[in-house]
Amino acid sequence: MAIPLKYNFRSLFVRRVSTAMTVLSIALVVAVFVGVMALATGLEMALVTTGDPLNVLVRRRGSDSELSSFISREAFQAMRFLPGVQMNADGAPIASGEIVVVINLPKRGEQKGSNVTIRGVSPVGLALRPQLHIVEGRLFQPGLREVIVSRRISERFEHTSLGDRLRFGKGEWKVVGIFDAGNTAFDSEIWTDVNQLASDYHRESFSSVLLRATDEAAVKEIINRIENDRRYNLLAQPEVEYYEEQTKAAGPIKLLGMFIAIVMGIGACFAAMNTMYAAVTYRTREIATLRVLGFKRGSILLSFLTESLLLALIGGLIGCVLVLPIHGITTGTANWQTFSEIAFAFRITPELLLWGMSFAALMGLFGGIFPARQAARQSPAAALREG
Amino acid sequence: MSYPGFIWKNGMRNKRRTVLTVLSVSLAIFVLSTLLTLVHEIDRNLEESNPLRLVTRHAVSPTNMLPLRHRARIEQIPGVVAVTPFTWFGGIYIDEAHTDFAQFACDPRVLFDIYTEIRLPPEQRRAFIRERTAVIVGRRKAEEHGWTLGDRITLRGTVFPVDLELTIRGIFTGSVNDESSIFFHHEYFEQALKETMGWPAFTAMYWLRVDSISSVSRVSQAIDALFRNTDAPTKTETERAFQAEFFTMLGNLKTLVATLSGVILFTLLLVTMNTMAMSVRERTREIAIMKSLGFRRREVLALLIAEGLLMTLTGGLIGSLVARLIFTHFALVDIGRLTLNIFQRFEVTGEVIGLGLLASALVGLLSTVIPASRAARLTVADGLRHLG
Repeated sequence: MAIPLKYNFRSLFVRRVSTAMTVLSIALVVAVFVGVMALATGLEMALVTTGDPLNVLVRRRGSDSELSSFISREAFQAMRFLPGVQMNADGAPIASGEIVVVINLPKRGEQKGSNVTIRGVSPVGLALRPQLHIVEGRLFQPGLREVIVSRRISERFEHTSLGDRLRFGKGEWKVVGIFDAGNTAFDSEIWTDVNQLASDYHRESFSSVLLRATDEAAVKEIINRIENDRRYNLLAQPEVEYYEEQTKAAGPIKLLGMFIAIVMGIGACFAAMNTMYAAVTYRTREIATLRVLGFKRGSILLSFLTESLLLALIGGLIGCVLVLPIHGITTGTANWQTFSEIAFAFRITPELLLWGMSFAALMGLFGGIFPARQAARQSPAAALREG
Repeated sequence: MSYPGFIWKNGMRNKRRTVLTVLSVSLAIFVLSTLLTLVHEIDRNLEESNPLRLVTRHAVSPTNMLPLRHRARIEQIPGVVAVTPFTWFGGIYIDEAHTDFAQFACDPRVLFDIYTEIRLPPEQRRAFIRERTAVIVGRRKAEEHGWTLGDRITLRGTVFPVDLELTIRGIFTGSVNDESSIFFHHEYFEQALKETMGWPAFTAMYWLRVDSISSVSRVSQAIDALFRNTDAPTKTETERAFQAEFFTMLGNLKTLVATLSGVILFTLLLVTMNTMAMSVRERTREIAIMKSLGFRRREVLALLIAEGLLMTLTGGLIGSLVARLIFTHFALVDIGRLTLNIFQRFEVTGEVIGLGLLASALVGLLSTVIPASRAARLTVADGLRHLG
C-alpha cells in the first residue's frame, strides 16, 4: 500500500524554512536555464522563421552573406526568365534584385553605435515577403529619399522614429513608416527603394536576387540551372536554408546556458540531497513506525522519492513563473555573417518550460534517490530503540 | 582541544553533508569563475589596445571603402607618426573549421611603427617587406596549424572575390590579438583585385599612430575635418573605442554576466544557509552545554562562523582552481571554436581566483551569521530543553 501524498506535503510544511530555501535554489537554477535558453531560442526563431520554402536566394559563390555578394544586372535579367519562376497577375516574373548595405547608427541612450542593415527592394521584393506589414505611417515611394524602419530597430536606435531624418549614402532620408515583419530577420532591417539606394552607393549590381518558384520541383530546377551556368558563378539556395545557416550565431549563447544549467543543476542536486538526508534523519522514528504499521520498504522508498520530486517540481514551477516576465523583451546581438545587429526578443516557448520542469524533476530524482534508499533500508527495530 | 581542532571536528561530524555542501559551493564558484573570466578577457582585449593608435574608417559604415589617396593627406597632419591602409580580408583557409584567425592587409614598411608591440627577428622583417606575397603569422596560430617559415597558404576570398597565395616569411610574438592574426601586403591585395576583377584600389580603414596622448583628439578631429565634404567622409577614433564598439555589438554581455552571477551567488547563499541552519539546529543542546561550561556568546558565534567559512572557502578554492586547470593549464576546452573565434585566449587569472574566494567567503559569512547568532543568543536553559 502506498503512503498517502498528504504525508509528504505535511512533512515538507513542517520543515518549511529548509524546504523554502531548497525550493528557491532549485527555482533559481531553473530560471537561469530557461532565461538563457529563451535568449537563444529568440535568436534562432528570428532567423529560422524567415523565408518562404518556394523562395530561392541567389548570391555570388564564395560570399558568406548578401552583404559581400554582388550580381550583375545582366545576370539578374537572365534569371528572371528561367523556367519555373512564378509570374504575377500582370505576367511579370516574381524576382527581386536587392541591394544590402550596412550603416552605423547610435543606440538609444548610449554613446555607442551598432551596425544596421539597409535593404533596397522593388515592389516585387515587398510582394515576396507578405509577413511584412506597415504598422505606422506608410510605405516609401520609389524615387524619393524615403525609408521604412522595423519596429525593433526603431525602438533601439536613434534617428529612426517616424518623421526622423537618417543620414547615409549621399544625404538625408526620411523615415515614413514603421513595419513589423513577424519575428523574422527583416525585423532587424531598414528598407528603401532599390534604385535610390543604388544611385547613392554607385552600385550597378545587386547584392542578391530573390526568386519565387512555381512549386517545390521548380525550386530544385532553378537552383540547378543557376549553379550550372558558368557565366555568372552564382550560388542559389532556398531562402529558408540561408537563414538557417545563420542560426549558428546562437551557438555560444546556447552553450553558455547549457553549461551554467548543468553545473548549477548538479549543485542544486547536492542541495536537495542534503535536505532529503536531513529529512530522513529527523524522521527515523516515524519511518520505523510506518514500517511497523505494515508499510513495505518499497512504499517508504517511493514516498521519499515523491517528496523529493515534489520539492523539485514546486521549485521548477516557481522558477518558470519567475522567468516569465522576460518573455518578449527585445534585445540584440551581432550577426557575424551579415556584420550587423540582429534584433530579437526573448522567447519562452511551452517546450522550453517543459524542459525546465523536466530539468527540475531530474534534480529532484537524483537528489532524492540516495536518501530514499537509506530510509527504506533502515531496520525498524533499531530505529525505535534509538533516542 | 585547540580551536582549529574543534572547528575541524565539528565540520566533520556529518561528513556527507559537509562534502555535499563543499561540492555545491565549488560547482557554483566554478561557474562564477568562468563568467568572470569572460568579462576579464573582454577588458583585457580593450586594455591591450595602444592609446596612441587611431582607426580611420568611412563615416557611414564599415562596408564603405576609403580611397587610397586619403593616406598622403593624413600623413601630412602634424603629430601623425605613421599611417597604413588596413583591410580585414576575411578569407577562408582550407575550410571554415581551419579559419580561426583574422587576416589583415597592410603596408609592411610602416606596420612595425604602428604595431610597436610586434616582435619579429630583423631578417624575417626584411624578408617580409621585400616580398610582395609574403605574410607574417602569429606564434599561437603558427603552432596550432604547424606552420613554418617558407610554407605557402591560400586564402579563399569571401568578402572580396579574389584568392590570395601567400608565403610565410615571419612568425611574430607580442600581444597583438593574442598572437593569432596574420598580416600581408596591402599592395598585393590591391593588385589581385585589379587583375581578377578590374576593381580600383581602396582600403577599408587606415590605422595610424600619433606621437603623444595630447595629439590624439587633435589629430582625429583634423582627419575627419579634412574629408568631411568629400564623397568619402571619415570617422576617426582610438583603437580602444573602435574595439569597444565591436564588443558592444555582441549585446549587453556584461549585463547578462552580471545578472547570471548575481543569481548564482544568491542560489549559493540559499544552499549554504540551509546547511548551516541544519547543522546549528542539530547542535542546539551542545551549544547550551558549551555556554554552561563558560564559553561566551561571542566565542560560540566565532566558532560557528569559522566553520561556515572553512566550508565555503574550501569549496571556492576547489571551484576556482578546477576552472584554472580546465581552461588555462590543460586547455581542455577549445575556446576559439566554441565562441566562433571571438575569444582566442581564456585565462583564469589570479584576480579571478581571488574574486571567487572573496565571493565564497562572503557567502560563508552571510549564511552562518543568522542561524549562528540565533543559537548563540539562546539561554542555556532553553537550549538544554531543545529536542534536536
